[in-house]
Amino acid sequence: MPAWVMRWISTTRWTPGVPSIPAFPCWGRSSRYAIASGVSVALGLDVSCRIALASTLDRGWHRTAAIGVFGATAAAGKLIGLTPEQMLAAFGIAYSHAAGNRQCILDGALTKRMQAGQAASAGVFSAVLAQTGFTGARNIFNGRFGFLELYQPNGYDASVLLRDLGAAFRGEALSYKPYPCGRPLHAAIDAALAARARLKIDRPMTSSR
Amino acid sequence: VTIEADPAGHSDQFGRGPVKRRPTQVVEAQFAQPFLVATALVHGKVGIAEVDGLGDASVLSLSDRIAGVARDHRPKGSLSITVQRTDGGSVTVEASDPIGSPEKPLSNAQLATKFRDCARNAVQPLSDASLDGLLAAIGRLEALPDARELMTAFAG
Repeated sequence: MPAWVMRWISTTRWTPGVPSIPAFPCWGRSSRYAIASGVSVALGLDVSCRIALASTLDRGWHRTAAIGVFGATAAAGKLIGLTPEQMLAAFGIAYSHAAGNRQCILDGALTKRMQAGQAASAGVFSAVLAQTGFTGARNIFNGRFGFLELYQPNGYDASVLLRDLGAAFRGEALSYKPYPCGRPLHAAIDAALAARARLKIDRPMTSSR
Repeated sequence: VTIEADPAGHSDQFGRGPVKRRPTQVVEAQFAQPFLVATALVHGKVGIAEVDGLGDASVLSLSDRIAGVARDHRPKGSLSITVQRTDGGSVTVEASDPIGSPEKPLSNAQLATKFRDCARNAVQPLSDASLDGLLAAIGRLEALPDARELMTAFAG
């Protein structure tokens, strides 16, 4: 049951994007993995949120995908027990997969969902490939052509990446979506439901025309 | 029904043609404010079936008649909704931070409702009986010996 089909997932107030979708790449693949998955998901969410928070300027990326791929990689890598060196390689491989834009959201296209699934898939692929000894870029975030300089020019704060790492888990500040649609629309839906309640409408409204 | 918003927020929703009032795909509906506000007003809930209700005549009729108003003085992202009834009744609600955040957490009942909606709409829907068992297991998650009970329940 891929999470990106469910459409009703968690989101975060301060970093537009849905970090939890790619972070659940392995959930349910095998009950053998299930016990470890809580820890791995917490790690994946933390990684995605940290990169999103460090990306201080909205440059139009679909963060769920372009940033979520790193969270997916961390979760998958934790699940299959990568060594630190292998995990670094996995992140480097994931960087080669980092993609996804929000033009498809403006245009109402199905690639919005594909991007989220692609990030989850790439996370698993990156972890498994790294386990075989395959290599990726090493200076993934701070390098000359690293993620921050290349994807977030003039719009990042690298200090956020490691601040309180291991002590503060950024996934704890996530919101749960009450409605299966874009988070920026939820305040309007809350207000509409409140208006309906105040008018004491207790059955489906019908048109007056 | 009137939605008053800041100029940018107004333009995003009311300056983009008919797709925000009459979306033709679910992915459009998920970002269509007039359609979603009409859905909430007509049905009193916004779940998967409601967002999928692209051809719902009652919703579309109301969505077509929602007026959007831009106000220069409004902070970015703020909005209010006014519902004027034909019998003279009227109510205005100012939107605030949406529910679901750590500051405004969903209740266990709201989470369970969401969970059931998702599970019933899954590629392999779970039965109501399975869902009851699953929710009960999640309720005592801390006491489960391991996660296999959950995974078995998820398998339906």
